[in-house]
Amino acid sequence: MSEGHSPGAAQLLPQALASAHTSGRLVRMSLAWFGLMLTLTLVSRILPAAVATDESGQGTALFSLLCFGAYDLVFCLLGSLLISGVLGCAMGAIAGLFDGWVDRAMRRLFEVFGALPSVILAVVLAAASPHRTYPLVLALGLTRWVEIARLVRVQVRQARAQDYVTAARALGLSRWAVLRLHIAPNAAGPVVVALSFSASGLVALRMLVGFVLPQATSHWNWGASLRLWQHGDSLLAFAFPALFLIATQLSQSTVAEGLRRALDSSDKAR
Amino acid sequence: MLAYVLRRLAWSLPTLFGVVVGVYFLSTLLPLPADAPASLGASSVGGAGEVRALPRFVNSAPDDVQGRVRRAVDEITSGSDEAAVRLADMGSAAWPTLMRRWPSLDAQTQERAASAALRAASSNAGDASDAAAPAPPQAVAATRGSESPARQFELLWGDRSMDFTETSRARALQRLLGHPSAEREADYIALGTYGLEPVFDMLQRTDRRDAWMGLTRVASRITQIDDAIHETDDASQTSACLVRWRKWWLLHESQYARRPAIVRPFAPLTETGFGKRLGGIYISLVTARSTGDHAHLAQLADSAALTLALVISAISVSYILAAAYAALSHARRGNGQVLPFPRRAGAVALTLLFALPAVVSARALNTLMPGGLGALIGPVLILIAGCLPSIARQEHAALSDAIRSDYLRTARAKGASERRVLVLHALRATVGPTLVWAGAEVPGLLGLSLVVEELWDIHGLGWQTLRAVEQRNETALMANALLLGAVAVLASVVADLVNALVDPRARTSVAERVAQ
Repeated sequence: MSEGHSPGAAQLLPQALASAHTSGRLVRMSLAWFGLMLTLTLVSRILPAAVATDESGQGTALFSLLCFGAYDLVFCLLGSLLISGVLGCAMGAIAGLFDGWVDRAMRRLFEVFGALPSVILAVVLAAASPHRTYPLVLALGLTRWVEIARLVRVQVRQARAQDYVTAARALGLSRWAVLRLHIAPNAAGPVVVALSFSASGLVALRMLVGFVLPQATSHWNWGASLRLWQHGDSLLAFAFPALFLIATQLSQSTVAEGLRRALDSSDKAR
Repeated sequence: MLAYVLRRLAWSLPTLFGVVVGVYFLSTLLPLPADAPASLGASSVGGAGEVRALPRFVNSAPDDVQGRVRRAVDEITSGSDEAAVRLADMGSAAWPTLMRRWPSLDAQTQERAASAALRAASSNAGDASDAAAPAPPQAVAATRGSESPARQFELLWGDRSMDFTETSRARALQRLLGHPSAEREADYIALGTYGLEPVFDMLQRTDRRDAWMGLTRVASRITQIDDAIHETDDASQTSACLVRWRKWWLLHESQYARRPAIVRPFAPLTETGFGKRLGGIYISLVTARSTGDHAHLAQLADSAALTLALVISAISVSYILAAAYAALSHARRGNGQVLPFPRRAGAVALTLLFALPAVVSARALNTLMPGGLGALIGPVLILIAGCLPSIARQEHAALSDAIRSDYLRTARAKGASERRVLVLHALRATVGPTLVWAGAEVPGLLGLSLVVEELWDIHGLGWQTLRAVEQRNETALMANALLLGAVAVLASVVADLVNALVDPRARTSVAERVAQ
């Protein structure tokens, strides 16, 4: 699985297509794709009756599959990114700001959560509350926050070692004020980049859970619909979710790469 | 180096323990199926409801039979019917404690407690007489018609108190095992639940098959749970039955036996859902060894080996492909220009592969080749697609860095051919770091193994995990998570080791880390 350990091959496409001009267009295309996903989501939210499946025609069923699947994907993705971002920043900041046993305990906590098989976490929480999405979103968020927390911890520690932070402390700013005024603005860029790179792993994991537990998760996700697709079924019912997923993952890596270029100063040397 | 490995492994133990704790907590969130059997019977659920009734990690008031009886009697004094039922459920195991409190109880409590105790006695007696044994004394006592329950119970205790001591019940069991007979068995069964403790003690200590048969039969008649080892059972059935009974005792020990003083301080931790689950894993492992039935262990080892074989073959193939891609994309023409095609084609292919969700590729491959050769290469292909992009990118970046280094310029200046520079000098320097990177891919691949094992019906760790989730088998889930976590930790240690073997620089840095 593209578990989000790395930016992965995502960075290779801009390399291959060389000019910054083209990659800027790619980023705009990817954002447009997310606009389409959001539109489908809104349609499924605002007009659920209009797109709800009926047995009348293949086309309607396919459209509703796409709408509700997009809703599921967007909801899971944004929710889990929010959870892992908030949790990761909070825990990482605590580990970075304090020395001694707090830091050691937090690092031990990161290690345990890092070693917890994320698939088991997600599968068990999904099976624990069938047909509900919130526990799954929580599980997805819990699988990614450790990476963010480690990053934030390092960022905070690096910033604390800077002279201007020492000066600010010497001028009487409290720990939290320093964090808010000096450290957070510097750490925000890398955190956003890391979050955007973890998105494709989150989508892959959500699809995996839907795929292995098609009964337990809500039916309207593309992982489950791919699993339940049989050889004799309409090829469109396979092709559309598959293509939508591929396009989403492509756009995600392009957007992440664009964000990295725009925000992350540490990588500019490369 | 050995010190480094040992230290890494030792540090991973607390982490793995944390993983087990976490997975146990998660598994308690799984709702039980509505028709879950209360105990024994179905080994997969095995008293899940009763374990769930315990606190998860810390039991602030762990009770043994003495404490339970005292509490029940206190509640009976304050007029609780439910406590009387509990007292009756404990059976004759409650009597010694009850009789020690007896003189201090008021008449009404005595009446109610005695009628509860006698209910247990008559059910025992009924069971014993079913087996066509001579009526035990307590059955006679229970029918002393017109007396009040309290008086009846006092008379019964007067008759039987000699049997209700630890030495006499131990001797009775020894007699029964030494020279088994229907009368002795009926006598022992008439002891009721008070006789359970030595039975299970003996079940742990002995490794004679005939003793197991006798003991499980006694246990099954006392508890009226229909489960015993029979003459015709083979090793795995014997072992399964022993495991069921020992798990049952693990759960119910506190209801029928006093806790020895030496383990009492640990009771807050052991009398918990987590303690019982860990105990269950231990019992499964130990019993499988003592009965000579290695089915449990072998099954677990088999599935781990299957999954590992999948993961390792996927990583090795990806690794070779990644090295080939990196070398090709850095190959130069005679005039020193980099070949444009392999680099671009490879980059586009890898990007597409990265964006291709495993669920899509797995579904498509499975439909195209569901069996035969497809079942062999399909899963590996999916796993390769899962880890190749990231490994290839890492290898590519490492080679780009290496190719610009000074020692390669020196090699070229001394007349080494471009191919020799690339393969012998540059590629060799990148092998180790990429291997460490590949080790980090293992957890993700283990996750993917769920998909491929489910689709191609391969009974590996991922498949077992899904079955454990479906059957709400918390013990198996914990064991699987432990294995998955251990594999991930081992993978990173092995990757470090191999890196040190290949790369002398890594060896020095490891030595420095140990020295610190």
